[in-house]
Amino acid sequence: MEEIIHEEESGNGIYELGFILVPSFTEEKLPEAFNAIKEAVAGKGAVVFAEEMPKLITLAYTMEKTINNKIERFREGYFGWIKFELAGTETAKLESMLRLRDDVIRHLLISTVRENTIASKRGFGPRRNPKAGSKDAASPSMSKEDIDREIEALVDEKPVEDAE
Amino acid sequence: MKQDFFSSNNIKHIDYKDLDILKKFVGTTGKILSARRTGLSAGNQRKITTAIKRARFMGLLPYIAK
Repeated sequence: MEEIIHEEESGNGIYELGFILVPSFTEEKLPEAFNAIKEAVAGKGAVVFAEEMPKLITLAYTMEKTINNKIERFREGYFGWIKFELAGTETAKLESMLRLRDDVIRHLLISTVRENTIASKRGFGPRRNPKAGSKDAASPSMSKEDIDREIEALVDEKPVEDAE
Repeated sequence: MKQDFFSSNNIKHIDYKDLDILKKFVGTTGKILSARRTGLSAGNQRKITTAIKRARFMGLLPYIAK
């Protein structure tokens, strides 16, 4: 919370830029393209504090982009994102710069928070756990005689181990 | 106060990249489920709708699934 207040005082906002790069990049050239975008963002005065290296994904539908006056269609692309702190007045310039890049099929600039917002990695789903818990709770319904037998069996085993 | 999926799991921000969560709130044809079906609060229903629309724009989720 303190960080958010600090951001407001400084007049800068926290933004996240998601982008899809053309799939024609090789594995060697991909980091170069990613760094070029990061440098372009940093050039506007942004401070990058979180990022994810672009990964090749299959797009949910065919995307089109006009490159050199030719409509190119893409079924896959490298999806990556960066989070940074930037003055609100620079966002429009950043977007117009990204629109002109031929290697970026599509981009999305959104206002976000500094904390990690991906919740699925934390593990959730309490609805299934109570059912599992109820099964576990049912299993220890052993009678006292059964418990006594198990204890006796364990006690009987111990002297054999000692003898060995 | 009635608990929904996000308040019971203590999730404050809904991310458009969080496909495991988003897929719970779209039907087999890719449509966003109604608030009546999801049981979400009005605020969280608006957040999930925004996140799903962003994921669709970025090609992570389909507009229409065949």
